[in-house]
Amino acid sequence: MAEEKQTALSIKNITKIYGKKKAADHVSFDIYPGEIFGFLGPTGAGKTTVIKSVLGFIFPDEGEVFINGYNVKSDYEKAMASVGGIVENPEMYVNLSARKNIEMYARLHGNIPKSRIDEVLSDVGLAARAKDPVRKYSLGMKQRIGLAQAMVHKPKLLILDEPTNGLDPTGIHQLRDVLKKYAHEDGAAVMVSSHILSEMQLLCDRVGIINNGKLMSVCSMDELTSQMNSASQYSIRVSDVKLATKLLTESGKAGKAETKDDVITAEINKEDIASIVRLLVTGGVDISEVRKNESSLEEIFLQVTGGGIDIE
Amino acid sequence: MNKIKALYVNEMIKIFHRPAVIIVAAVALCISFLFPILLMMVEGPYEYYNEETNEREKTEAALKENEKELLNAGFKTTKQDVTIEVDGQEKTIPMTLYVGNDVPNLLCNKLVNEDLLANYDFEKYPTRKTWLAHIALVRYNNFEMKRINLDMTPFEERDAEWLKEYDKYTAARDVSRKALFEHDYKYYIEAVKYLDKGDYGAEYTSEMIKRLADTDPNGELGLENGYYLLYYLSQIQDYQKRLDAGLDDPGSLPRILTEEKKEIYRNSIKILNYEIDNHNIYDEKSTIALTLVYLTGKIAGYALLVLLILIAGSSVSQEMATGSIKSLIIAPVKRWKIFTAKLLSIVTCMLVASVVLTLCSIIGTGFACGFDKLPPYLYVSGGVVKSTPLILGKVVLDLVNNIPTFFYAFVAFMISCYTKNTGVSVGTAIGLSLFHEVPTMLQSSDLPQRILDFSPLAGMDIASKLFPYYSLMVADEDFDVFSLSNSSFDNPLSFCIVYIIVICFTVLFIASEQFKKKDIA
Repeated sequence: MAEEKQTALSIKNITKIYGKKKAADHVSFDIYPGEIFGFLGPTGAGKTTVIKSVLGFIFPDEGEVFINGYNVKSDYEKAMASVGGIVENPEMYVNLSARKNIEMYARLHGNIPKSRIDEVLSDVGLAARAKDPVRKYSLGMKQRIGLAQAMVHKPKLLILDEPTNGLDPTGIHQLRDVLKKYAHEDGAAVMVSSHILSEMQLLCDRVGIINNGKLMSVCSMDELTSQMNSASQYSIRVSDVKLATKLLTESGKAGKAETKDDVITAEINKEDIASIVRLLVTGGVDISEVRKNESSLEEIFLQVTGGGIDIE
Repeated sequence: MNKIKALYVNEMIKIFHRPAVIIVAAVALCISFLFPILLMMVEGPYEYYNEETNEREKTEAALKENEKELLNAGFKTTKQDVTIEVDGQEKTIPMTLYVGNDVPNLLCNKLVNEDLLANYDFEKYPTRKTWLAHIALVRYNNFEMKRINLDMTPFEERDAEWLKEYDKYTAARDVSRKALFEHDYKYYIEAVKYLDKGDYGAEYTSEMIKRLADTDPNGELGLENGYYLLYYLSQIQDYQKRLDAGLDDPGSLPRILTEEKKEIYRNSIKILNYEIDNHNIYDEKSTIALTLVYLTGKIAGYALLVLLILIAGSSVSQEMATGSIKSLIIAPVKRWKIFTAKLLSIVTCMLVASVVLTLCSIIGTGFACGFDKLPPYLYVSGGVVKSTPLILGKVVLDLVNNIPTFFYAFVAFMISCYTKNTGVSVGTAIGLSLFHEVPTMLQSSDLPQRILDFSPLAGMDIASKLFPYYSLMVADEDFDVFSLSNSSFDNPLSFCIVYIIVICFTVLFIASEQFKKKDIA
């Protein structure tokens, strides 16, 4: 059973068919300890099907899943002992307190000391309200409790489906720190699916992109960004839009420029940014902001998946 | 095993934190405990046998009333010598003719009351306190009235047959009067012989009265105990008749007695004799207490049905609906263990709820009627009559009686696993449990359809087979709710047990397959 020990999660040819539709079509990829893996795909692409296959919610028609070398099918309990996760929204027993919910979950994992429960509650910032019934919690608080529950047994593989749902910016920031620490310092593997692409950029080491049940691409975040077109969209906030537009057009280093208020948006090559800034400043235009537009990953995603589809 | 134990603990925590379950359980507990107390508060104690009255004053008042009513009734008396031919010889006898409305009743009361006031010692043998005085007075009235009825016949219609009847009732009246005034069973036993079929008390044969006289040689037996004792004796007589005839229930739908049934009847006779010999005759209050325990159990049974169906029917589906099932599936436990723990928690609730409700109903009844009025359950083991406290006997009996409730809770569990919808599973299971009464009713209507035996649980009355002597505990023929089985068919106990195990197993197998092997979307 000690197959492929080096992977935290190994998915091999997972296929799941609902009626005539292949929700997952021979999906294979690996996740390694110490990395954060982003799982991307539009609505109905098969992300949740794959995650549910890994976590034992559904039985794939074909293929196998190995968690820390244990086959989920034949060594279910051993495989699941080192997994923590949140699928879709974290659902708790709403009449019980957060602490009780985590205690119940911890009981199923065996010897987890109470101090560990206190620790995770504190980590997610809910120690003070741990005795309140979950029905009184906001979605963001439920997300935090879900995360605490998923991590209480220190799983070697953490699978989170849309973990930033309902979190405020501070919460998102904290979550990012917690996950990065958990993966990069504690050596666990983290798999995250999210529709906020900017979050994925900030969080993930590698991503897998799935569409129509097929895994389209698995690559590192660096590889992904290098796939960007040489021309990317930049927004420049200037003191004189007319003059700046004129200078940009004359330089020939920018694509078609669009203006809105005091911002010019244009396609500019990364290596030309410095010379364009110099050109504008020497031409008498003050620059207050230069920003690369956040849709970069989205663009790549559209390229990979064929474009023209809504992105989760 | 540890995983199942952990899951089981979690399941119990979840059940006890479900508001709907808590509310229904609280209602069931209130019904069980408070119903007997409230009923006794509303109805008050039944005091028929203990009514305190001054019999002499009451009789004097009644006599005055009789005299007044007789005057208003147009009562007239005519005396005449009448000649009747008896065995070929003519006899002339002085006779009386009474005329008027309602004369036999009024005149009989007048004559008997006059006699009592003149000659009877009310203080020594109050007719409302001792059974012998009461029944002898009934007989005295009874035969006196029959005599007066004959005195209403016109003189010209009186013949030898009339004279024979008249002499018979005169002798019967005199011997009844002797039984009353001398307070002696010997005369009452003689008077019983003159009773006509259909007369009040005619079912108490001379043999029964002799047996009663043996247990009460000085005629001190209270009115209440006397009637209960006679009920016991009539039960013995009834069982003996069935054993002698080799037929069950010879009156309605005769069936040949099985050896098993014969044994039950023989043991029933043993138990009844044991109670008579040990002066362990139940009184009115014991009967009321047992009736309350029974009624409370029946009403709480419906609350139990709703409670258990709610627990079982929501066990899986509510987790599916709220999504909380996810934390179970992600945990390192196989689905069959989750299923087993859920099933164990449901079974625990079944057993605990049934036992607690029974205990509450008995304790509530104890407060309402007195704990000393709760008789023990008697049974026969190794040919010897044994007893166990009611609380123990009733707990086990109710567990057996609640088997259909448990079954429908399993059905709710199965539907819950299948539809993942609490409303559908709870509603369907309750509906099915109500439908269950239909084949039972058809069976009790004596329809000769063996197919009804295979309707779920109908005719599978294990309780009456495991507790055949429970119905003996209530000595009141008018209140037959304790008859556990209404089925006209009689499946053997082994068949019932196997049948119930098979249908429960089938239901649970379907539930298990559904839960273990289907995707959780």
